[in-house]
Amino acid sequence: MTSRVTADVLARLAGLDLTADDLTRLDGDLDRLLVAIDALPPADPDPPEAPIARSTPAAPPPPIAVALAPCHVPRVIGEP
Amino acid sequence: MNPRVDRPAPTTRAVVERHLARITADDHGAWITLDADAALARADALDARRAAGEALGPLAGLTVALKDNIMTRALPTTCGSRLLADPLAAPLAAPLAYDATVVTRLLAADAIVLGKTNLDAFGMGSSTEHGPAPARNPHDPTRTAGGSSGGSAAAVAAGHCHAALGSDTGGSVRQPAAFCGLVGLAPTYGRVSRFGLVAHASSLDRIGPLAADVRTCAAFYAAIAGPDPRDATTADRPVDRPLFPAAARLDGLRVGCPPLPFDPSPAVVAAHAAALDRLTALGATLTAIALPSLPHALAAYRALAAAEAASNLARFDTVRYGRRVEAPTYPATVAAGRAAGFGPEVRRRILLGTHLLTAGHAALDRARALRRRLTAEHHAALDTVDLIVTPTAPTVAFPLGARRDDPLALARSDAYTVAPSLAGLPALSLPAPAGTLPVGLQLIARPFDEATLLCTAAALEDHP
Repeated sequence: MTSRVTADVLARLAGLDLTADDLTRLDGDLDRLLVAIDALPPADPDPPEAPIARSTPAAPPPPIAVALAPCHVPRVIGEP
Repeated sequence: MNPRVDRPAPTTRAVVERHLARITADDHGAWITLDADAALARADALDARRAAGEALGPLAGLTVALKDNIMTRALPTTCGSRLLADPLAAPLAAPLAYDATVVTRLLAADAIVLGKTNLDAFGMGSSTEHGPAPARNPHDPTRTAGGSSGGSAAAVAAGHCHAALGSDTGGSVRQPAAFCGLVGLAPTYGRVSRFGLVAHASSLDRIGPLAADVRTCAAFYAAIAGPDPRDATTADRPVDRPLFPAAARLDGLRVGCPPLPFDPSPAVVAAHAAALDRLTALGATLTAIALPSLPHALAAYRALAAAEAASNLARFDTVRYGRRVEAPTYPATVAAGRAAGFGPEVRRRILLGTHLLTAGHAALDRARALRRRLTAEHHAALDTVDLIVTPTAPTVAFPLGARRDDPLALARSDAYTVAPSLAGLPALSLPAPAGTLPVGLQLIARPFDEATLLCTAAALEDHP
C-alpha cells in the first residue's frame, strides 16, 4: 500500500479538529479504502497534448423544445 | 374515454394542495424545507393567467422538488449538512443566495417548486442516511431510497410531486431512481448548467431530473438543458428534441451488453435478462461488447471524487457562513467548526482526498489513466452500438442502516453508475420488470445523445 501519514496529520492538513476515537476509526477506514485504489492498474505515460483548436462561436441554440407529447398527462404514483 | 386524459382539468391550486396533503400525511423523510405558501401563491397566479387566456410555459402546473444542494434565492440551502443547517449560523440565504440556472429555467417554464429535498450531506453517500434524517423508500419504508438524491426520489415515488431535480456525481440520480422505481437521467457532462449547484466533484457533477415516467422526465430535462454563459463547462450545442412515436419499435437499434462484474443479485440478473428480452422483442439487436476497465471504475471514481471533494470543501471555513465554533485562533476556529459541521462520511472523503493530493500523486495518476482508458473503451463500443445496457445497481434497495458505516459496502451500490460518470456520458435509469422491489435498467448513450436514451426508454415503458 502507498505509505501515508496518519489520520491525525491528514486531519490537521484538512483543517479538522477530530477526537482520538474519530481518528482511530478514520485510520482504519483509510486503510480499507486505499487497498482498492492501490490495486488500480499502473498508469501509462500521458499521451502528448494535442494543440487546442480554436473554434468560432457557434450560432445561438434554438429555443429549448417541449418534449411533452400533446396529450401527455404526467404520471403521479398513487393516482389512477 | 381515457380517464387520465379526458377528465376535467383540476386547477393548479387543487394539484398543489393534493401534493402538500400527501407530504403532510407522510413525508418519507424526503423533505428538508417546504415552501407551501409560495407554491400555493404561484399556483393561484398560474390559474389566473390560464383563465385570462395567457400562454403558459411547458411545465405549467407541474410540481417539482429540488435537491437541497441546488441554490435558491428564497429558501436556505443546507446541503443536508449540520455545517450549513445550524439556525444560529448564517445559512446560504439572502443576501448571499441566488437561484441556480436550473431553478431560473424551471420557473421560466412555469413549474411550481414545492421545496428542497433530503440528501447525503454534500451529495456524499449512496443511501441518504448521512444527512439530517434518513429518507425512506416508499416501496418499503424499512429500506433506503438510495442516494445521494434519495429525498428527491422518495418525494416523486410517494406522489408528492411530478418530478424532482437531483445531482449525480457517481450515480446519485440513477441509483435512487432505480431503488424507487422511477426514471432518472444523468445528462451528458456539459449539457445542463451547474451554476448554483454546490460542488462535490467538479469533473463529475451533473444535474438531472427524476420522474415517474419517461415523458415527464424528458420534459423537465428539456426545460433545464442547454448552454449557460454563467457555467463555462456547458457545451455550446443545441438540445435535440426527443420524439416519442405512438407505437415506437426499436428496429435497427444496436444495443451493447458488457459482461457484468460486481456479482449482481439474482433479482437484478433476472430483471436485466427480462429487459434485454423486451429490447429484442421490440426489434433491437443485442451485441456483446467488452469494457475491460469496468471492474476498476469504482476505485478510480473513489480516488478522483475524494480528491476533488477535499479541494471543493476547503472553502467551508465557517467564517463567512456556516456553523462557527469560537476558538482562540483563526486556524483553531476553522478546524473546530469544520469538525463539528462535517459528518463521518464527509470527513472520510476529505481525509482520503487530502492523502491522495499530498502523497505524490501516484494513485491519482493511476486513477486518471484508468478514467482515460474507460472513456476510450466506452467510445469504441459506442462506435459499433447505439446504446450500452447494464443494471443500474447490483442489488435492490438495501435495509436502512445495513451499509451506513461501511464505506466499501455503501459504494458498491454505485458499481455500474460510476463508469458513465467518469466518461461523462449520458445515462438513464428506468424500471426493469421486477418483483416486489424495483430494479433499474441503465442505458448509456453517446455524448449529447439523450434523445436516443429517452426514445428507447419510452418504447420500453410503452410495451411493458
